[in-house]
Amino acid sequence: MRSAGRNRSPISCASAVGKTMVLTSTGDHPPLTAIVGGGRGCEAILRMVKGHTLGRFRMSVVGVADTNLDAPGVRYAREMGVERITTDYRDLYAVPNLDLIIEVTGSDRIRDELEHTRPHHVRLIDHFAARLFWELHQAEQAIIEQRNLLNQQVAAESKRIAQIFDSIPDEVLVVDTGMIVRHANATFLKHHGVSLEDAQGSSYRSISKSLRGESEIGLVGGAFKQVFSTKKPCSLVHKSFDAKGKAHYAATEVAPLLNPDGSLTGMIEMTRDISHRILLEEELKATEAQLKTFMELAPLATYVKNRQGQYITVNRATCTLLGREKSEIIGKRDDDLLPKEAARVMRTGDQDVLQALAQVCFEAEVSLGGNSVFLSTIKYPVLDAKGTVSAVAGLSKDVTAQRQVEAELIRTRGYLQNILDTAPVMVMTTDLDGRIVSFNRHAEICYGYKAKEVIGKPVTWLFRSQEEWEALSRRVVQGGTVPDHEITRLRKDGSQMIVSVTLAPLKDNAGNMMGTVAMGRDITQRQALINQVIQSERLAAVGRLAAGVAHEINNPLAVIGEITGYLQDLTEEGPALKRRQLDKELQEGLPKVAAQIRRCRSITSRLLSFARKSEVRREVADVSTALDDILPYLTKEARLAGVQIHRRLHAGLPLIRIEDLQLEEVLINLIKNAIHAMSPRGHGNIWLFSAHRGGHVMLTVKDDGPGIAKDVMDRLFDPFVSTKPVGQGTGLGLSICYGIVKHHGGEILVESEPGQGTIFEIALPVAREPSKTSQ
Amino acid sequence: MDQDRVLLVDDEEEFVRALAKRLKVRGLNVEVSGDGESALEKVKQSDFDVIVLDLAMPGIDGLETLKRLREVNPDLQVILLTGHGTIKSGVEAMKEGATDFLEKPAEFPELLAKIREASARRMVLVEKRRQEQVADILRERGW
Repeated sequence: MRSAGRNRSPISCASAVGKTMVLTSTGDHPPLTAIVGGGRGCEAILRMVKGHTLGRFRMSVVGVADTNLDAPGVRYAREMGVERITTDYRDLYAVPNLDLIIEVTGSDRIRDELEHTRPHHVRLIDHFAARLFWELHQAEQAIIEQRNLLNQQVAAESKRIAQIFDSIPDEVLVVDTGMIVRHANATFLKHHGVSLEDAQGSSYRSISKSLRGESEIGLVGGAFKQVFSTKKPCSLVHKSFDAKGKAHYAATEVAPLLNPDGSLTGMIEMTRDISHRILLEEELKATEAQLKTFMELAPLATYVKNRQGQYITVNRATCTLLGREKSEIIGKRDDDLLPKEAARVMRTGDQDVLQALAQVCFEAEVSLGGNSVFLSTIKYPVLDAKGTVSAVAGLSKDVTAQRQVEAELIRTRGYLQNILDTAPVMVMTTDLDGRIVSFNRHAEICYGYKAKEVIGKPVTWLFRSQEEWEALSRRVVQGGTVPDHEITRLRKDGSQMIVSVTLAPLKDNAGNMMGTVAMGRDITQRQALINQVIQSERLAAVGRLAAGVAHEINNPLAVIGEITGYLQDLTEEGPALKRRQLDKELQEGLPKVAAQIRRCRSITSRLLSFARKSEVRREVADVSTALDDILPYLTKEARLAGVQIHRRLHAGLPLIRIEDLQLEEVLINLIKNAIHAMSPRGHGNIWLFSAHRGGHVMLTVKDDGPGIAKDVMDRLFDPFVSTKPVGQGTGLGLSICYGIVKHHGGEILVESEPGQGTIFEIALPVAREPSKTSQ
Repeated sequence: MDQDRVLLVDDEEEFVRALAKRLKVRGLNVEVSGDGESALEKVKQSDFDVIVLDLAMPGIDGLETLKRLREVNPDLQVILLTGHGTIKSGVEAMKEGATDFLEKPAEFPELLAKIREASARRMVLVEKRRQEQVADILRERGW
C-alpha cells in the first residue's frame, strides 16, 4: 500500500473493500454513478465531485434516490442539476450504462437489497466502504491543506525575498549554470528598462548584449567563468560611457549559488553604479595632486616637521634654500641640516609653536652655504582630527634682497633728507587740510621755529592772514604750480621776512593730490638790494628827465638871451637910436623876457615837485595822477621824436597797491622805451589804455614801433639787456619794471612782433580800500 | 655891397623874432620861417646867402629840411642850431652839406661871425661860378 502512493490510495481502499471494485474509468468518460441515500454522505460526495477534490478518481453522478426528497443531499443534487432524483432506488437501475451505485443510507437492509436487486454490470459501494473511502479522503484532504499552507508560506517567503531583492539599490541578476537568467531585481529591470518576463528565461549573453557593451560582457563574462570554475566570489570594476559620452563606473560582484552538497546551481551578479564615488575619488586625487603641485612649486620654502623636529614633507624651494636633495632632508632635523646657530633659531621657532599652539613669525639672519641670508619665517601648528598638534608647518622666504632694498631705501631717504636739510631753500609740505607735514632745516633757520614746533600746525600760522593762504592754495588746487610768489611772513622773533615762494601740488604715485609743497627763499636781503637798485635807477630816470628839462629850459633861455642881447645892442648904439624907440623896444622886450622866465620857473617848479615827491612815499597809487605827473616831461621828447601819445584811460579806476613813485618809474621806463624805439624813424604813436578786471587794474602801453627782435624777447626782463648804443642805456629799465611789478603781486606781459609794434601789459592788484583814494 | 640875405628857421617864434632884430641891426637882410616846409617855399621863391636852421623841429626836422634845401640849391650855406647838440647829429649835418653848426643857446657874436663867414664863402662860390660861366662863354664863342 505504501508504495502505491498517496494519490492512488482511495481507489486502492475501494478495491480492498470489494474485490470486484476496480474504480477505473471505462473508456474516456468517468463512471456513471447513482447515489442511494440523500443524507449528509450524499451531499459530501456531491461536493467532492463538484469541487474535484476526489483526486484522480472521477465520477459523473447521474441520479440520487431517497425517500425524503427534502434531505440535504437530495436538495444539493437538485441544485447541481442531477438528472434523476427519485424516492425509489430501483428507478435508478433504468439509467442506461450505469456503472456504479454508492449506498450511503447507512442501513444494512437497503445495502442487502441493493446487493440483490442491482443489475450485474452495476457495481456497488456500500456505506461501509464509502465511509472508509470518506475517512481516507479526509486524511488526504488534510495533507493537501497542509501542503497548501506550506506552499503559501514558501510563496510569502519568496515574495519577501523578492521584495528585499527589489529594494536593493544594486542590480541583481541570478543565472543558472546554463547562464539562463532566473531572476532579476527591480533595480536591474528599472535600469535596463526590461520586464521581468522578458528577462527571465533568456540567456545572460543575449540580455547583456542589448543592455551592456560588448567589452563589458567580456569582462563580466570572464568573472562568471572564474566563479564557475573556482566557486569563489569575484568582483570587478568597469567603466562605460553613456550616449552623452559621460563616463560611468560600475562595481560588479559575482557570487556562486551552491547546493548543500557544494555543487553549483547558479550564480548571482550584483552590479552597483559607483560613478559618483569614482568621480569623487578622482576629484580628490586631482585636488591632492594640485595641492601637492601647489606646495611643490610654491616659491616659498614650505615644509612640515613632526613633533620630533624631523622633516616630513618639503617642497622644491626648501631644497633650493637648503641646497640639498629632497631625500637628504626628509627624516632629518635642523641640527643635521643647518649650521649650529641657524638650527637653534629654527628649533626655537618650533618650540614656540608647540608651546603657544599658535602661529609664530620671526625674521632671522642665518648663514646658509657660507652666505648670510635673511629668512622671514612663519610657523604654525598642524592639528590632527583629535585637535592635538601632530606637526609643525613652516614657510620661509629669503628676504635678503628685500632687506637690501629696504636698507638702500633708508639710505636714499637719508640722502634725500640730507639734501632737503642742507639745501639753502625752505621746503615745507602740507597735507590737504593745510597742516604742516614737513619743515626743513633751512626753513627752521629762516623762520626761527624748530620743525617740531610747527609740524601739525595749520600752515596759516605762518601767514599774515587766512585769506592769503586760501587764495594761494586755491590756485594750487586749480592750476598747479604758483611760481615766484612774494609774500611777507613773520619770523619767530616777530621780524618780517620777504619770501619768494613757489607752490606746487604734492601728488602720490597715482596722481592724487596729497597736499602742497612750498619752496621758499628768504629774499628780504635781496629785496633790500633790489630796492637800492630801484632807487639808483630812479636817479637815472630823474637824470633822463633832466635832459628833457634842460632841453625845455634851453629854449626860453635862448629867447631871453636874444631879447636881452637885442636890447643891449640898442643901448650900445646909444645916440644912434632915439630915446623913444629904445623905450618902445624895452616895453616890448622886457615882458617877453619875463614870460620866458615864468616859463622856466614853471619847468623848474615841476621838476622840484617831482623831486620832492620822492620824500613822501605812498602805498597806493592812482594811474591817472601818475601819468599827469610824468607825461609833461615826456611829451616834448615825444614831440621831437615825432611820436604822439594817446591817453585812453578808463575813468574812475580804483587805486592800486603800489608805491606811486614806483608806478611812475615803471610808466616812465615803458613810455621812454617806446619813444626811443620809434625816434630813429621819426614818427609813431603810443597808446595808453587802462581797464579794471577781476581785482586788478590793467595798464597797457602800446606802440606801433618796430617791435622787439625774437632773440631780445627771450631775455627782455633780464638786467643789463639793452638795444641802445653803449652809454645810452643801463639795461636795467625793464628788469626794474619787472621787479617792481612782481614785488607788488602783479604781472607784466609783453607782446611783440618785429614790425608789428609792441604791447606791454601790467596787471596790478587793486588796493583794498578804494574809499581813501582822495588823499 | 649888397646886404647879406639870411633866412632864420626855428619853431620858437620869440627866439627867431629877437634874433632877426639883432641881425637886422647889424645890417643883415633877415627873413624868418617857423618850420621846414615854409623855409623851403621861401628858398624856392628868392635867393638867400645863409640859412640858420634849428635841428629839432616838429614836422620835417632840421636834417630833412637841410637835405631838401640842398636839393633846391646846392650852393646854399646852412648853419645848424641844435638844442642838445651831439657829435652824432653834427657829423650827420656836416655830411648832408651843412656849412657849420652851433649849439643852442648860441653866443650871438659867434653866430654872427659864422653867418658872415658863410656869406663870404657864398660870395666866393658865386664869383667862382661866374668866372666858370665867363670861361665857358669864351671857350664856346672862341674869339
